[in-house]
Amino acid sequence: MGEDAGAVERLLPLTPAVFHILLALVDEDRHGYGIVKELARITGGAVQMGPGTLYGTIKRLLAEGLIVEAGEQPDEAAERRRYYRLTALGQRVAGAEATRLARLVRLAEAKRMLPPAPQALTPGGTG
Amino acid sequence: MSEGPPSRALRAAVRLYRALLRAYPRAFRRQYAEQMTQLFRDCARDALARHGTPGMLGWCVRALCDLARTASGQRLAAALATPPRAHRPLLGAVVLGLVTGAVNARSTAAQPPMLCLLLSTAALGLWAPRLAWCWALLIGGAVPTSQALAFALHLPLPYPNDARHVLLALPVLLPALLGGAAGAALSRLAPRGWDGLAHAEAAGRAAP
Repeated sequence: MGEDAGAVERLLPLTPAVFHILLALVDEDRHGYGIVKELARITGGAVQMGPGTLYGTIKRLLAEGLIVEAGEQPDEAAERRRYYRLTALGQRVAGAEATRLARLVRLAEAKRMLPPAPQALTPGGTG
Repeated sequence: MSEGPPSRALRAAVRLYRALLRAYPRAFRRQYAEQMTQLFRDCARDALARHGTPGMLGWCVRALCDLARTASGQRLAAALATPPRAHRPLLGAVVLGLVTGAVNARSTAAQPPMLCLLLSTAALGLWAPRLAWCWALLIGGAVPTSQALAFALHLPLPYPNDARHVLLALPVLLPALLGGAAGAALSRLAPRGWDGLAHAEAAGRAAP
């Protein structure tokens, strides 16, 4: 358990690109275009990742064992797409990063650096 | 919206992007080029549908900036991942270049530096033939560089050195390239396994 916690801590903090991709894969396997669409949906279009950044980050996440390839499947247009899946380690790392960011937000709120919290955001990014 | 011109523009953009993917290292391209091209095309199509041709062009510009930035990062990562043993020819070229430049700076005749140049480039070409042209440029470039430095720093040379002679030293790159080519040609005659690095290069070429 301690060794596992160490493996997670060593990977923190995550870059925004890494964290966004892990977030996009939390609920289901996706291919590259699916990841980009999901990021645009949950961030309201604020995050637009280019192919170089996306696949450079995917390569790194595969090497670190945070995601795995989940095979190729044809899409609606019968075009083969390579899917990616979050691993258990990836889940834990994403969760640890979310906890870390939440702690920072609480610190900023305690220092009154943030305006009063608006009503909870839906995953669609609207208030 | 008319189908013809936007589709032609989209196809041209995808062809251009696919060609520019050569900026990435070969191993990265082999793994991800098809997916990157798919993603580029899908996002360009989305931008075209939402915002027309200006939107698609905006996406293309962002994707090209992303390519320029990440391709250099991938190239650097690939170079750093190369085993230190593979950097030895580069170190050898730098050292031999310095030696050639020093010989040129101390010699009153052209023969000693030229001999040093030819032997150095041939030896590097024989040792690491795949980049023989690179070693030749590094070692050959040492001659005009040493003269230019001496001229700029007013260092004494055993022969008259001015801006004209610095420029006249540039053609020394030609015998440097010939020396490197000769070494590379000789390496093809060497039996496999006579030299560890040559053998490793051949094995590296055979590996996927």
